[in-house]
Amino acid sequence: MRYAVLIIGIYHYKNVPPLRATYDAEDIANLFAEMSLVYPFSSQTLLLNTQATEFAIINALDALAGEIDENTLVFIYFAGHGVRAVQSGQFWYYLLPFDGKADNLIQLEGSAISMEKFSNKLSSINALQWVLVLDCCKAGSIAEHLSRSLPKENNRNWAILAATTGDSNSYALPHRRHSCFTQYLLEGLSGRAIDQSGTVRIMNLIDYIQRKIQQEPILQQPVLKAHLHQNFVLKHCM
Amino acid sequence: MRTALYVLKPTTVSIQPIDPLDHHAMLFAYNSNVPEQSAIGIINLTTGIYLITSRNQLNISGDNIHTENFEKDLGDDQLHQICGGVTDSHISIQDKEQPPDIAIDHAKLEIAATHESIKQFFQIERGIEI
Repeated sequence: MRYAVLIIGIYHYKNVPPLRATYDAEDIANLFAEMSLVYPFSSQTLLLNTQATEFAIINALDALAGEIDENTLVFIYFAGHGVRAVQSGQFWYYLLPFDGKADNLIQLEGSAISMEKFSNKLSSINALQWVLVLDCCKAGSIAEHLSRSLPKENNRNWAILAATTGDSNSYALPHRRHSCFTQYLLEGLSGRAIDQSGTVRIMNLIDYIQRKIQQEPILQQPVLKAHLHQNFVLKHCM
Repeated sequence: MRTALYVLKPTTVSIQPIDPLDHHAMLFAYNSNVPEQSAIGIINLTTGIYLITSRNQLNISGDNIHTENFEKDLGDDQLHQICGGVTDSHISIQDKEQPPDIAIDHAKLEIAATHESIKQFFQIERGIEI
């Protein structure tokens, strides 16, 4: 197994207010950079702030889909604004790139990453196992929308780790290096979520994050949306 | 839930959870040199701006506490409390989706603070709704 990793972290935006600046994406990238010394990698791409335009994100997803094979474990991480738009009682969800505009639905359709667009890109990932991590508000609803339209083939496993359930918020508390969710994601991947065989598996990871985040002074419940035939391994720690 | 505290003069507050799960409530100072601490108990606060994060509303009390409900102006779920005397300190409790109102004078509580930097201090969620 080899890894292909795409990490997107947007804290400063061109057209909308910033998020609390953290080192979430950077430290996820550092963790995989360390892993790349031990495990084979096909690629690792980090898009930060101004680099994470809609064009760059779509290009990176296309590149990812083009370079992998069935033996690749794909890991995609997004930290940034999740957007919910309401019109005529209907909800639309988007991931906001650096250059996204969010004053109205037309702007969002033209500049943000819609669920349809994102799901098309994810569907073209020809890996037996892939993971998408969403550390943004409305992540649960975004994961729900994506999971409805993603292919559910017999031999493939995919998992979306969402920082929040439904339409609730993902939080980054003042002066901390990481958001609440990514703090425990990093801990889990670093080995705190290992099972008896010394591996970090997808279900153990979400279980670890869900348990630990309950200690935080906020209401946030991460969720997993997945199509799994096995509790697949994300990382061997021993 | 966020609670914004503007402490105009040093004061002591008692903060107790209503929801038992809120024993994890934390207090953050605008001044990043001040470490975060548990928000539950009797707490001495120096002049400055603070944020408490919790799951639900907390019981916050101090000397000569006076509570005003700004339902009409600010919405059903927003309370405004004045703690330790009307002019000594000022606590406003707001819904997590709404940035707390920042009076011009409050920006003077922290060196180099601006209206925008205080808003960013209170900004802890990662999302936009339109």
